[in-house]
Amino acid sequence: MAVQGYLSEMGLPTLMQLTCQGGTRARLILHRDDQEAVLYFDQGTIVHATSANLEGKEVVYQVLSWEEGEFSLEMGIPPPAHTIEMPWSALLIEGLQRQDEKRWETLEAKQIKETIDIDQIEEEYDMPENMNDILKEMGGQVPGFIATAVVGMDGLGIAEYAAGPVNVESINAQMTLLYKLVDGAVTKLKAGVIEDYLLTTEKTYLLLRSLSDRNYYLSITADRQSGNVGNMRLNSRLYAERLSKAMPK
Amino acid sequence: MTKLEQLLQQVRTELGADFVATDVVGMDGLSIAGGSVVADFDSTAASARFAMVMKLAANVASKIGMGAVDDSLVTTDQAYIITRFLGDGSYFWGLAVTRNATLGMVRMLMNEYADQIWKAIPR
Repeated sequence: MAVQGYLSEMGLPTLMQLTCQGGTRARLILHRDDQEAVLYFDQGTIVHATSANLEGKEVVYQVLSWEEGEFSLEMGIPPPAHTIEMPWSALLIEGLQRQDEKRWETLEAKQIKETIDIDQIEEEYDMPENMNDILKEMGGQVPGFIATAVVGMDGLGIAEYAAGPVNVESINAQMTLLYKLVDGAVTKLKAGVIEDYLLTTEKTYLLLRSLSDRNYYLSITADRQSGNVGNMRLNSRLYAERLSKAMPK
Repeated sequence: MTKLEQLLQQVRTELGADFVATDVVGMDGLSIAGGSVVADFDSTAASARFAMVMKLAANVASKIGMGAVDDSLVTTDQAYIITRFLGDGSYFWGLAVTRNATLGMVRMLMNEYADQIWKAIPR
Protein backbone atom coordinates (compact mmCIF):
# COMPACT_ATOMS: atom_id res chain seq x y z
CA MET A 1 0.00 0.00 0.00
CA ALA A 2 1.30 3.39 -0.93
CA VAL A 3 1.17 6.63 1.03
CA GLN A 4 0.36 9.47 -1.32
CA GLY A 5 0.34 13.21 -0.91
CA TYR A 6 1.52 16.60 -2.10
CA LEU A 7 4.99 18.07 -1.59
CA SER A 8 3.35 21.39 -0.77
CA GLU A 9 1.82 19.70 2.29
CA MET A 10 4.78 17.55 3.29
CA GLY A 11 8.17 18.70 2.09
CA LEU A 12 10.74 16.27 0.79
CA PRO A 13 13.25 16.85 3.64
CA THR A 14 10.54 15.77 6.13
CA LEU A 15 9.61 12.76 4.02
CA MET A 16 13.24 11.71 3.75
CA GLN A 17 13.79 12.16 7.46
CA LEU A 18 10.69 10.17 8.49
CA THR A 19 11.41 7.32 6.06
CA CYS A 20 15.07 7.04 6.96
CA GLN A 21 14.45 7.24 10.70
CA GLY A 22 11.88 4.47 10.34
CA GLY A 23 14.66 2.30 8.83
CA THR A 24 12.26 0.75 6.34
CA ARG A 25 12.82 -0.39 2.78
CA ALA A 26 10.75 1.79 0.48
CA ARG A 27 10.37 3.41 -2.92
CA LEU A 28 9.42 7.08 -3.16
CA ILE A 29 8.06 8.21 -6.53
CA LEU A 30 7.94 11.96 -7.12
CA HIS A 31 6.11 13.82 -9.87
CA ARG A 32 6.33 17.49 -10.76
CA ASP A 33 4.68 18.58 -14.01
CA ASP A 34 6.00 16.05 -16.51
CA GLN A 35 9.10 15.19 -14.48
CA GLU A 36 9.53 12.02 -12.47
CA ALA A 37 12.14 10.92 -9.96
CA VAL A 38 12.37 7.77 -7.88
CA LEU A 39 14.25 7.40 -4.59
CA TYR A 40 14.97 4.07 -2.89
CA PHE A 41 15.37 3.72 0.86
CA ASP A 42 17.01 0.84 2.65
CA GLN A 43 18.28 0.34 6.20
CA GLY A 44 17.73 3.90 7.25
CA THR A 45 19.30 5.70 4.34
CA ILE A 46 18.81 6.54 0.64
CA VAL A 47 20.64 4.01 -1.50
CA HIS A 48 19.55 4.75 -5.02
CA ALA A 49 17.82 7.45 -7.06
CA THR A 50 16.90 7.84 -10.70
CA SER A 51 15.26 10.41 -12.95
CA ALA A 52 14.86 10.74 -16.70
CA ASN A 53 18.48 11.72 -17.27
CA LEU A 54 20.26 11.34 -13.94
CA GLU A 55 21.15 8.69 -11.43
CA GLY A 56 22.54 8.73 -7.92
CA LYS A 57 22.86 11.63 -5.44
CA GLU A 58 22.46 14.33 -8.13
CA VAL A 59 18.82 13.23 -8.41
CA VAL A 60 18.32 13.83 -4.68
CA TYR A 61 19.91 17.28 -4.90
CA GLN A 62 17.62 18.10 -7.80
CA VAL A 63 14.37 17.00 -6.21
CA LEU A 64 15.13 18.78 -2.95
CA SER A 65 14.32 22.00 -4.77
CA TRP A 66 10.84 20.78 -5.68
CA GLU A 67 8.34 22.64 -3.58
CA GLU A 68 5.32 21.42 -5.45
CA GLY A 69 4.37 18.09 -6.93
CA GLU A 70 3.01 14.73 -5.83
CA PHE A 71 4.62 11.86 -4.01
CA SER A 72 3.86 8.21 -3.58
CA LEU A 73 5.69 6.17 -0.95
CA GLU A 74 5.50 2.37 -1.19
CA MET A 75 6.92 0.20 1.54
CA GLY A 76 8.86 -3.01 0.99
CA ILE A 77 10.14 -2.33 -2.53
CA PRO A 78 13.79 -3.38 -2.86
CA PRO A 79 16.27 -1.04 -4.56
CA PRO A 80 17.29 -2.19 -8.09
CA ALA A 81 20.79 -0.78 -7.57
CA HIS A 82 23.07 0.96 -5.06
CA THR A 83 24.37 4.26 -6.42
CA ILE A 84 24.48 6.37 -3.25
CA GLU A 85 26.94 5.75 -0.43
CA MET A 86 26.41 8.89 1.69
CA PRO A 87 24.35 8.94 4.91
CA TRP A 88 20.92 10.50 4.33
CA SER A 89 21.69 13.44 6.69
CA ALA A 90 24.84 14.38 4.72
CA LEU A 91 22.86 14.07 1.51
CA LEU A 92 20.15 16.35 2.86
CA ILE A 93 22.61 18.96 4.15
CA GLU A 94 24.55 18.98 0.87
CA GLY A 95 21.32 19.26 -1.11
CA LEU A 96 20.02 22.14 0.97
CA GLN A 97 23.38 23.95 0.75
CA ARG A 98 23.31 23.66 -3.01
CA GLN A 99 19.81 25.07 -3.03
CA ASP A 100 20.94 28.02 -0.92
CA GLU A 101 23.89 28.68 -3.23
CA LYS A 102 21.61 28.58 -6.23
CA ARG A 103 19.19 30.96 -4.53
CA TRP A 104 22.03 33.39 -3.76
CA GLU A 105 23.29 33.18 -7.31
CA THR A 106 19.82 34.00 -8.62
CA LEU A 107 19.47 36.81 -6.10
CA GLU A 108 22.89 38.22 -7.00
CA ALA A 109 22.13 38.01 -10.70
CA LYS A 110 18.82 39.75 -10.07
CA GLN A 111 20.53 42.44 -8.00
CA ILE A 112 23.23 42.93 -10.65
CA LYS A 113 20.55 43.17 -13.31
CA GLU A 114 18.62 45.67 -11.20
CA THR A 115 21.81 47.70 -10.70
CA ILE A 116 22.47 47.69 -14.43
CA ASP A 117 18.87 48.61 -15.12
CA ILE A 118 19.07 51.48 -12.64
CA ASP A 119 22.33 52.65 -14.21
CA GLN A 120 20.72 52.55 -17.63
CA ILE A 121 17.66 54.39 -16.41
CA GLU A 122 19.82 57.01 -14.72
CA GLU A 123 21.93 57.33 -17.82
CA GLU A 124 18.95 57.63 -20.08
CA TYR A 125 16.59 59.68 -18.01
CA ASP A 126 17.91 61.15 -14.83
CA MET A 127 21.60 61.75 -14.68
CA PRO A 128 22.49 65.01 -16.36
CA GLU A 129 25.17 64.56 -18.97
CA ASN A 130 27.88 67.05 -19.71
CA MET A 131 26.55 69.32 -22.44
CA ASN A 132 29.96 69.87 -24.00
CA ASP A 133 30.41 66.09 -24.30
CA ILE A 134 27.05 65.78 -26.02
CA LEU A 135 27.95 68.55 -28.45
CA LYS A 136 31.29 66.91 -29.16
CA GLU A 137 29.60 63.58 -29.81
CA MET A 138 27.09 65.24 -32.11
CA GLY A 139 29.92 66.97 -33.98
CA GLY A 140 31.22 63.53 -34.91
CA GLN A 141 27.83 62.59 -36.37
CA VAL A 142 27.31 65.61 -38.63
CA PRO A 143 28.99 65.54 -42.05
CA GLY A 144 30.97 68.72 -42.76
CA PHE A 145 30.70 69.74 -39.10
CA ILE A 146 32.16 73.14 -38.24
CA ALA A 147 30.72 74.23 -34.90
CA THR A 148 27.83 73.78 -32.50
CA ALA A 149 26.56 75.56 -29.42
CA VAL A 150 23.70 75.78 -26.97
CA VAL A 151 22.73 79.42 -26.90
CA GLY A 152 20.40 81.46 -24.73
CA MET A 153 18.05 84.03 -26.17
CA ASP A 154 20.45 86.64 -24.80
CA GLY A 155 22.91 85.47 -27.46
CA LEU A 156 25.33 83.92 -24.98
CA GLY A 157 26.42 80.32 -25.39
CA ILE A 158 26.30 78.00 -22.38
CA ALA A 159 28.11 75.14 -24.12
CA GLU A 160 29.94 74.95 -27.40
CA TYR A 161 32.23 72.84 -29.52
CA ALA A 162 34.04 73.66 -32.74
CA ALA A 163 36.07 71.46 -35.06
CA GLY A 164 38.48 74.28 -35.88
CA PRO A 165 39.26 77.96 -35.30
CA VAL A 166 35.75 79.43 -35.56
CA ASN A 167 34.40 82.46 -33.74
CA VAL A 168 31.49 80.66 -32.10
CA GLU A 169 30.65 83.63 -29.88
CA SER A 170 30.11 85.83 -32.91
CA ILE A 171 27.91 83.20 -34.60
CA ASN A 172 25.89 82.84 -31.39
CA ALA A 173 25.30 86.56 -31.03
CA GLN A 174 24.45 87.21 -34.68
CA MET A 175 22.26 84.15 -35.17
CA THR A 176 20.29 84.92 -32.00
CA LEU A 177 19.29 88.28 -33.50
CA LEU A 178 18.12 86.51 -36.64
CA TYR A 179 16.35 83.74 -34.76
CA LYS A 180 14.42 86.27 -32.69
CA LEU A 181 13.35 88.13 -35.81
CA VAL A 182 12.21 84.92 -37.51
CA ASP A 183 10.36 83.85 -34.37
CA GLY A 184 8.65 87.24 -34.20
CA ALA A 185 7.63 87.07 -37.86
CA VAL A 186 6.21 83.57 -37.50
CA THR A 187 4.25 84.57 -34.39
CA LYS A 188 2.83 87.74 -36.00
CA LEU A 189 1.78 85.78 -39.08
CA LYS A 190 0.16 83.12 -36.87
CA ALA A 191 2.15 80.46 -38.71
CA GLY A 192 2.56 78.23 -35.65
CA VAL A 193 5.38 77.64 -33.22
CA ILE A 194 8.89 77.66 -34.64
CA GLU A 195 10.74 74.35 -34.38
CA ASP A 196 13.88 75.05 -36.34
CA TYR A 197 15.46 77.53 -38.70
CA LEU A 198 17.95 76.72 -41.46
CA LEU A 199 19.99 79.38 -43.16
CA THR A 200 21.85 78.32 -46.30
CA THR A 201 24.73 80.50 -47.38
CA GLU A 202 27.29 79.98 -50.13
CA LYS A 203 29.73 78.51 -47.59
CA THR A 204 27.64 76.96 -44.84
CA TYR A 205 24.43 75.52 -43.49
CA LEU A 206 23.40 77.11 -40.18
CA LEU A 207 20.68 75.26 -38.33
CA LEU A 208 19.00 76.51 -35.16
CA ARG A 209 16.59 74.37 -33.17
CA SER A 210 14.67 75.42 -30.09
CA LEU A 211 15.31 73.38 -26.95
CA SER A 212 12.41 72.25 -24.80
CA ASP A 213 12.09 75.33 -22.58
CA ARG A 214 12.43 77.67 -25.62
CA ASN A 215 14.81 79.97 -23.74
CA TYR A 216 17.72 78.21 -25.40
CA TYR A 217 18.42 76.82 -28.82
CA LEU A 218 20.88 74.43 -30.39
CA SER A 219 22.98 75.85 -33.20
CA ILE A 220 24.85 73.68 -35.72
CA THR A 221 27.11 75.02 -38.45
CA ALA A 222 28.27 72.73 -41.24
CA ASP A 223 30.17 73.12 -44.47
CA ARG A 224 27.94 73.70 -47.49
CA GLN A 225 29.89 71.37 -49.76
CA SER A 226 30.24 68.36 -47.47
CA GLY A 227 27.23 69.01 -45.25
CA ASN A 228 23.87 67.28 -45.51
CA VAL A 229 20.71 69.16 -44.57
CA GLY A 230 18.66 66.03 -43.81
CA ASN A 231 21.37 64.65 -41.55
CA MET A 232 21.73 67.98 -39.73
CA ARG A 233 18.02 68.23 -39.06
CA LEU A 234 17.85 64.62 -37.88
CA ASN A 235 20.82 64.99 -35.54
CA SER A 236 19.55 68.32 -34.25
CA ARG A 237 16.26 66.64 -33.29
CA LEU A 238 17.95 63.71 -31.60
CA TYR A 239 20.51 65.73 -29.70
CA ALA A 240 18.13 68.56 -28.76
CA GLU A 241 16.24 66.08 -26.59
CA ARG A 242 19.41 64.97 -24.81
CA LEU A 243 20.60 68.52 -24.40
CA SER A 244 17.26 69.57 -22.95
CA LYS A 245 17.61 66.83 -20.33
CA ALA A 246 21.21 67.79 -19.58
CA MET A 247 20.36 71.46 -19.21
CA PRO A 248 21.25 72.74 -15.72
CA LYS A 249 18.05 73.44 -13.81
CA MET B 1 -1.98 86.29 -66.68
CA THR B 2 1.66 87.38 -66.72
CA LYS B 3 4.53 84.97 -67.18
CA LEU B 4 5.43 85.41 -63.52
CA GLU B 5 1.89 84.58 -62.41
CA GLN B 6 1.86 81.55 -64.71
CA LEU B 7 5.05 80.21 -63.14
CA LEU B 8 3.71 80.67 -59.62
CA GLN B 9 0.50 78.94 -60.67
CA GLN B 10 2.55 76.00 -61.99
CA VAL B 11 4.37 75.74 -58.67
CA ARG B 12 1.04 75.85 -56.87
CA THR B 13 -0.31 73.07 -59.10
CA GLU B 14 2.76 70.91 -58.54
CA LEU B 15 2.44 71.23 -54.78
CA GLY B 16 -1.26 70.41 -54.80
CA ALA B 17 -2.90 70.25 -51.37
CA ASP B 18 0.38 71.09 -49.62
CA PHE B 19 0.51 74.60 -51.05
CA VAL B 20 -0.27 77.40 -48.59
CA ALA B 21 1.10 80.67 -49.99
CA THR B 22 3.74 82.16 -52.24
CA ASP B 23 5.02 85.64 -53.03
CA VAL B 24 7.79 87.21 -55.06
CA VAL B 25 8.98 90.14 -53.00
CA GLY B 26 11.31 93.07 -53.58
CA MET B 27 13.84 93.96 -50.90
CA ASP B 28 11.64 96.96 -50.15
CA GLY B 29 9.21 94.42 -48.66
CA LEU B 30 6.56 94.80 -51.37
CA SER B 31 5.15 91.74 -53.12
CA ILE B 32 4.97 91.89 -56.94
CA ALA B 33 3.13 88.60 -57.43
CA GLY B 34 1.73 85.77 -55.39
CA GLY B 35 -1.26 84.12 -53.86
CA SER B 36 -2.50 81.96 -51.04
CA VAL B 37 -5.11 79.32 -50.34
CA VAL B 38 -5.66 80.84 -46.90
CA ALA B 39 -8.52 83.32 -47.18
CA ASP B 40 -7.25 85.79 -44.60
CA PHE B 41 -3.55 85.39 -45.41
CA ASP B 42 -1.90 88.77 -44.99
CA SER B 43 0.47 88.83 -47.96
CA THR B 44 1.54 92.40 -47.24
CA ALA B 45 2.59 91.62 -43.67
CA ALA B 46 4.28 88.36 -44.64
CA SER B 47 6.24 90.04 -47.44
CA ALA B 48 7.36 92.90 -45.24
CA ARG B 49 8.36 90.71 -42.31
CA PHE B 50 10.28 88.21 -44.41
CA ALA B 51 12.03 91.02 -46.27
CA MET B 52 13.38 92.08 -42.87
CA VAL B 53 14.41 88.50 -42.14
CA MET B 54 16.23 88.18 -45.46
CA LYS B 55 18.02 91.50 -44.98
CA LEU B 56 19.18 90.58 -41.51
CA ALA B 57 20.16 87.08 -42.67
CA ALA B 58 22.35 88.59 -45.40
CA ASN B 59 23.88 90.98 -42.90
CA VAL B 60 24.51 88.25 -40.30
CA ALA B 61 26.03 85.83 -42.84
CA SER B 62 28.35 88.54 -44.03
CA LYS B 63 29.44 89.48 -40.49
CA ILE B 64 30.27 85.92 -39.50
CA GLY B 65 32.06 85.30 -42.79
CA MET B 66 29.70 82.68 -44.21
CA GLY B 67 29.25 84.27 -47.61
CA ALA B 68 26.07 85.29 -49.41
CA VAL B 69 22.71 83.88 -48.31
CA ASP B 70 20.99 81.49 -50.69
CA ASP B 71 17.86 80.62 -48.79
CA SER B 72 16.26 80.22 -45.40
CA LEU B 73 13.86 77.61 -44.12
CA VAL B 74 11.59 78.05 -41.13
CA THR B 75 9.92 74.96 -39.72
CA THR B 76 6.94 75.53 -37.48
CA ASP B 77 4.46 73.02 -36.11
CA GLN B 78 2.10 74.02 -38.93
CA ALA B 79 4.21 74.83 -41.97
CA TYR B 80 7.50 75.04 -43.79
CA ILE B 81 8.33 78.57 -44.93
CA ILE B 82 11.14 78.82 -47.45
CA THR B 83 12.52 82.10 -48.71
CA ARG B 84 15.30 82.34 -51.28
CA PHE B 85 17.07 85.17 -53.03
CA LEU B 86 16.51 85.53 -56.75
CA GLY B 87 19.07 86.67 -59.32
CA ASP B 88 21.13 89.60 -58.06
CA GLY B 89 19.44 89.55 -54.65
CA SER B 90 17.08 92.46 -55.26
CA TYR B 91 14.09 90.10 -54.93
CA PHE B 92 13.33 87.01 -52.95
CA TRP B 93 10.77 84.28 -53.43
CA GLY B 94 8.78 83.03 -50.44
CA LEU B 95 6.85 79.78 -50.36
CA ALA B 96 4.83 78.30 -47.51
CA VAL B 97 3.67 74.68 -47.54
CA THR B 98 2.01 72.42 -45.00
CA ARG B 99 4.03 70.08 -42.80
CA ASN B 100 2.69 67.22 -44.91
CA ALA B 101 4.77 68.43 -47.83
CA THR B 102 7.95 66.56 -48.74
CA LEU B 103 10.60 69.09 -47.85
CA GLY B 104 13.21 67.73 -50.24
CA MET B 105 10.69 67.94 -53.07
CA VAL B 106 9.78 71.54 -52.22
CA ARG B 107 13.43 72.60 -52.17
CA MET B 108 14.00 70.85 -55.49
CA LEU B 109 10.98 72.57 -56.98
CA MET B 110 12.27 75.96 -55.85
CA ASN B 111 15.67 75.22 -57.39
CA GLU B 112 13.93 74.33 -60.62
CA TYR B 113 11.78 77.47 -60.81
CA ALA B 114 14.00 80.11 -59.20
CA ASP B 115 15.83 81.10 -62.39
CA GLN B 116 12.66 81.17 -64.47
CA ILE B 117 10.92 83.35 -61.88
CA TRP B 118 13.90 85.74 -61.75
CA LYS B 119 13.81 86.04 -65.54
CA ALA B 120 10.04 86.59 -65.54
CA ILE B 121 10.22 89.62 -63.23
CA PRO B 122 9.26 92.68 -65.34
CA ARG B 123 12.02 95.31 -65.71
